[in-house]
Amino acid sequence: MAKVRTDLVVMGGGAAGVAAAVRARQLGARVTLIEAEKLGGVCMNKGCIPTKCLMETARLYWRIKRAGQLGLLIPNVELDWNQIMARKEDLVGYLRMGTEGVLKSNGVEILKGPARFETPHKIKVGNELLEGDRFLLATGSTWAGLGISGDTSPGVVTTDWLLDMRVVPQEVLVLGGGPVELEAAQYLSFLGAKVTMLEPQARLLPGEDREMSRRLSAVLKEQGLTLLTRVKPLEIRETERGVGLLVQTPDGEKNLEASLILHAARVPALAELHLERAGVNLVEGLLQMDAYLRTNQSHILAAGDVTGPPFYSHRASAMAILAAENALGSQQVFEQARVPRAFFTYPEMACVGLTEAQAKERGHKVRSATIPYSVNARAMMALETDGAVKIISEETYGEILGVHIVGPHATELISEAALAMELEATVEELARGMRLHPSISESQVEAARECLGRGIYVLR
Amino acid sequence: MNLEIAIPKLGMTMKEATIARWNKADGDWVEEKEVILVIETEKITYEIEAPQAGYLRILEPEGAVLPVGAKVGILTQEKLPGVPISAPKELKTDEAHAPLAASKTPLQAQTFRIKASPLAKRIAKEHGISLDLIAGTGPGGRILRADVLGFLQSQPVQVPAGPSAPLPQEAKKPLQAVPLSKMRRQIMEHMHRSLQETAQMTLTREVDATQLVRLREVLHGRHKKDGVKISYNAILVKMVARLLREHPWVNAGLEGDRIVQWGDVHIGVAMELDEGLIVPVVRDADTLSMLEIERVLQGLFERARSKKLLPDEIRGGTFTITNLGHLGVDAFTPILNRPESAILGVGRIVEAPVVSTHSGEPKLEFAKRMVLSLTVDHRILDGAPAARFLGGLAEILENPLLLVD
Repeated sequence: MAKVRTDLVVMGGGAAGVAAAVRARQLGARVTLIEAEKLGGVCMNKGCIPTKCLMETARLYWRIKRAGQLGLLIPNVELDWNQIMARKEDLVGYLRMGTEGVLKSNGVEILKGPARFETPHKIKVGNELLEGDRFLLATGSTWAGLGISGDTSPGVVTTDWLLDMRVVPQEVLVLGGGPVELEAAQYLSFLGAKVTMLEPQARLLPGEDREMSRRLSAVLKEQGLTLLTRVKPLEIRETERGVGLLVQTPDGEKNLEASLILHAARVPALAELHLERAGVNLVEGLLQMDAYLRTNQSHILAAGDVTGPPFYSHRASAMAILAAENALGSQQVFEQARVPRAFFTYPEMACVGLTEAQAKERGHKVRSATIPYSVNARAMMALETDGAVKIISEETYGEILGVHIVGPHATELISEAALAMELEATVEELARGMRLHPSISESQVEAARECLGRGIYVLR
Repeated sequence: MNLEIAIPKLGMTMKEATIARWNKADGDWVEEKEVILVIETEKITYEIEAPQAGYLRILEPEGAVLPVGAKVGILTQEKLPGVPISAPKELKTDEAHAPLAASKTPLQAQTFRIKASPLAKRIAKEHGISLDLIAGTGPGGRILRADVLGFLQSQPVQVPAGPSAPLPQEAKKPLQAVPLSKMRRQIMEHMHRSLQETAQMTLTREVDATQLVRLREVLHGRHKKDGVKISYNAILVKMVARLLREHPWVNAGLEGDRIVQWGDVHIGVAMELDEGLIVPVVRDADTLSMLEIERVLQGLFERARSKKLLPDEIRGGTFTITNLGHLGVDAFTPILNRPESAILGVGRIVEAPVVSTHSGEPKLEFAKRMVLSLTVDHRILDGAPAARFLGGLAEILENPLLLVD
């Protein structure tokens, strides 16, 4: 039984683990990274990368079929599933190879196999005993069950199923209204499936700004998605057509039927770690953590999905870099509130900071402004005028409290807002900024001006 | 000759310091060796003297956080025209130019810039406060929203009422509200963390101090010729250091998941300064004579008073003694000086009636009594071994001849 000693043991080789390992190497630590499956984690192998790659095809497919307005007459648009899947596999393989290269060239030692704690400073990987001064938990997340009867029937699938789908199902029920569920629903819908989304709350994206979630759901409905709100799944059973779902609605119980039920419920992957042997506490199933990303065992830190939702890869890597720095001596607070949220739908939605309701709840004197893309020249040219940019600011000092975008390139445009908030710019600075014309980003400046009551292109 | 004043490196790990106070104004004449500037590091405050006489040109404002080696001022032989750092606010918050005449080279522009976020500037402006009063905690010392709000909270009286709205009356009127100094903040964090992270238990034991008082008198006579008065603290350091070699598990601390028994005996002695508590360390106390310990203590105390302690002189202790006897305290619950696992509190010496059984019959006598309060980290050290250590100390105190054992 070999015994190795290292400064930082990174448990997990996904977005968080890779970023932390490289950062720790830059700071001069000896780093061992342990991955049980494939490097790159969920994001690279099953999540962000392959699903967004497939979505790109579906989005174009849907747009090209409606390209007549642009003056393009394309008679027969067909899906080539061999090419669609091969391209996705190539991309994932290529990125994974890149990740391995980055780790190796930075001198990170990689071990394969599931890791579990033996003592607070020792873990076992296979038969190998590994001793470390500090540990980073970065084991990510894993699928959770739906917790209702029949949830293991073959008609119930997750987004993993979409990665090998070559025949589009006729009818699909999508449970839950998070980013992953929304993207999956739209993917299936763009490819021709009849999709119904079931949201237990009163509206889609209940955690997001009311006005913006209403804008997005209006577009989704127009595109052909059926949205049912205040619907709680009760029971699943197999039927001739596929699966039946008994749901609780405000009007009583109802039976729904479809070829498939899709969900994307995830939980932190903690079960295999034997955390009790390390003395690490859990609170209501989540790691007990402080603002410095340390668990109650101060030499064991955690970053990414393993710390609980929101499950975003960009959050995971940002947390991981900070956790690696904190593990090696610095003491920085991770600002959860500054994590931008993304919905890779079409149109996209992206947000950072508070919603209008949250800002008011916290006692801020709020000034908000919404500029719809229907008055943005660039959006009109692209026939992508669905959506808007909304800025929520605080009246006294002009602090930017939140920015919410639905529309083309929202996931790119949000970075400007995230940077502005990080640097504590006020709406005054944003309002004075010059943007290219014609561009989508002009609307962001106009929204900032309108927060100050001086939008230029607003009808009075 | 013009001479630059820079932030000195005062210890191995020191990286930056805050300008706590300029004792002289920009343009003032200062004499050689005059204290012109007080800087603060995370642990200490330190006074900087003028290396030569000259006119002072201030380059960095109070509150600025600067790296070791940063130029903070210049001493010149001729009085210079130019914009001092305490110029009107509009200039300071942005950029001000102070032309500097070097002895030979022509005028050179010196740029002052206070890094602050737009939001921080806006809040400071609304409250009429100058940014150079505020220490920045952002990247590169950038002043952030939280820094300005923190500063505002620490201010007792708001800036003279201008056109801004009147502030709501507080239920309790402050007599004075002092912003947290770095030292106060350090003490605050250190004490709070100690209580949060350890399991503290205090054992007390009354001892007969008759022999201790006698010993001090004997030592006084013996070292009169050296001009040194041996203090109770020096005697206690000597006794504790001696005893710690027999009780290595008390001279210990937690490092990661290991309890480390330290091979050296470095004893910290708590001292009171105007600004707060400081614990300089008598290194290798177990190898020093009583006279040497007293001299080390006096040197540390003088340097602490005059803000000349080096960071390394308040680090690395393995055990701490805190004495409140001179202030009339009998027993108390000292707070552990992390990562150490034990701290001894020393009470006053009082004449008290005791029941003696020396002659067989119980008899009431008067004796000099003193209470020792030993706080230990129960995670590391259990009650019985802690009590044994305290017992050992009582034994030496009551019979100092054992020191030669």
